[in-house]
Amino acid sequence: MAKKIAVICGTGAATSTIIMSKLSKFLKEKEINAQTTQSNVNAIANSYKDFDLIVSTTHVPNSVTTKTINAVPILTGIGADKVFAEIEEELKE
Amino acid sequence: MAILEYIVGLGPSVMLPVIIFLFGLLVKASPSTAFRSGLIVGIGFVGINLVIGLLVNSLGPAAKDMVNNLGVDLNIIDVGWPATSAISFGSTVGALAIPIGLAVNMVMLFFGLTKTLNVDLWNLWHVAFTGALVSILTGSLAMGIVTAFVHTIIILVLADLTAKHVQDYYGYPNISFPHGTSTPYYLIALPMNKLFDAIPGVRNIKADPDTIQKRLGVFGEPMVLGLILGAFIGVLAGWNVQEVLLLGVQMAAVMLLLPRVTAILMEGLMPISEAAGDLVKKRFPNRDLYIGMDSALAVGQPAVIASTLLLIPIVLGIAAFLPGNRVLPFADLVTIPFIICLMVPVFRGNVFRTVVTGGVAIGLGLLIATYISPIFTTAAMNAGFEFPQGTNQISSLVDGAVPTTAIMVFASKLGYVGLLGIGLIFLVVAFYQKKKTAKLEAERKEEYSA
Repeated sequence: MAKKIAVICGTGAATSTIIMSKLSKFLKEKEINAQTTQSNVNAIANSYKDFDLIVSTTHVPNSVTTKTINAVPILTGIGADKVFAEIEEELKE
Repeated sequence: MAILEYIVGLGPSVMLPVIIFLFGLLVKASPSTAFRSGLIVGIGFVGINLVIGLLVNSLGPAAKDMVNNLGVDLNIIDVGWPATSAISFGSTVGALAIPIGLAVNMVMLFFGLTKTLNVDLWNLWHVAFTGALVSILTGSLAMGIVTAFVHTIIILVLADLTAKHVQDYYGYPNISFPHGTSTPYYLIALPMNKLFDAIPGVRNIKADPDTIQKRLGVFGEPMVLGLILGAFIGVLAGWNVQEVLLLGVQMAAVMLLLPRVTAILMEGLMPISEAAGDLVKKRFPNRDLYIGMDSALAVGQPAVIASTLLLIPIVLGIAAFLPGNRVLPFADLVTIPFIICLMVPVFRGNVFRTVVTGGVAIGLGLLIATYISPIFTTAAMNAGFEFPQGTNQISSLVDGAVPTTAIMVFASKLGYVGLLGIGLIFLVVAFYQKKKTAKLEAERKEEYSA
């Protein structure tokens, strides 16, 4: 079954759009079948259980127990490869 | 000149794609990318227009009935930052905001007057906003353009000043937030923090962010907030159950849809913004710079979220009882994190101090937002937003209530002297900062050699 990824930022409009586009491109290249949803940090605090992985550009509340990956390096470009590798690793299991 | 007038006359949903296409070619994006980007931006614009139509057409009558029913005069609807940014980029000054922002940034980097390389071109809408307001107010496009120049300088200087907090408190090294909404409030937090420290008793008050988030978290979710507010305003308007429920769901829809359609605008702008960013980065290689990013990176921090959850009802209360205010806070209630996210590090995560300062700042901001609402509404109409005849005025908290909006609008009333004076003040601060950094680095070198 395809894993569900939530891509989130503070608003669900700005930086998460950038991550969405780069992540979709990455998943396509690697031929990984995953379902991505764009959302915001306040919504995820209530809906985190619906996702297998959260990719976020902002801090996520402690109450969220879903595995979360910090995506800021994808924005700055410094260390982006490492983050993508981490995401790929997480989706394998 | 006639060509430019013709293009602007087409309205933003046609004009912006043309301008984005041309700008894309200029920053060496491929013609197909530039074309796609331009078209997507136009589509985003159309989408935002549709959602704002839903907001104004459904909340507007409720606000009017609430006025009649309760005598609370909150007739100006807060359309939120998504609409504000679209209106700003859709103005004539807005069409030039990105080139202006890039040019000011390059020149200031060249003279060492800033350390921030702003790659977050999207957020140049803030300078487009003040530029558009001033050009409408003064009737002079040139004044609007000068405003955009000066506002860009202000934001870059403030981004440098706050960069240490972004690094130490939020843990993002080599990043600064050249963000038009977040940065000005830093200057309010500094004296307020001194004031809190000086008052016995008050200086020790704290609140636990995790508990607040756990108890109130559900109200922070935009669609839930929209539902509750919509239904609540419907009840205050004296509507029947059927109408109340419909308004609740409509407002939940607005809250969910606004960021979605704004994301489309953003998606279109992104490839061009990246191409431009790469081009600028190439010009300034191997320099110790801050990468300028959206302060959205900070808004998930627990103290920021907890303070926001407390501020939402407080801001509504202030709006209802503050004499002189006519703005009904709505779409930007969920944008409060951007207003407070650079206050929080100054208060070291103290939720009490953030809420009090945020309440005062937003309260005063409501008066600014009320004052500028006629110009704001004109700007929206110029940008092709359609309102039915005799409809409500609109405004927003972000950036309608931001101190820099008031500063630029009032400075423009003094003419060029006012605007250039403000610019000069911030350039002096930048120059002083440059000297300070140079001195620190020299001292550090001495330490190493000794």
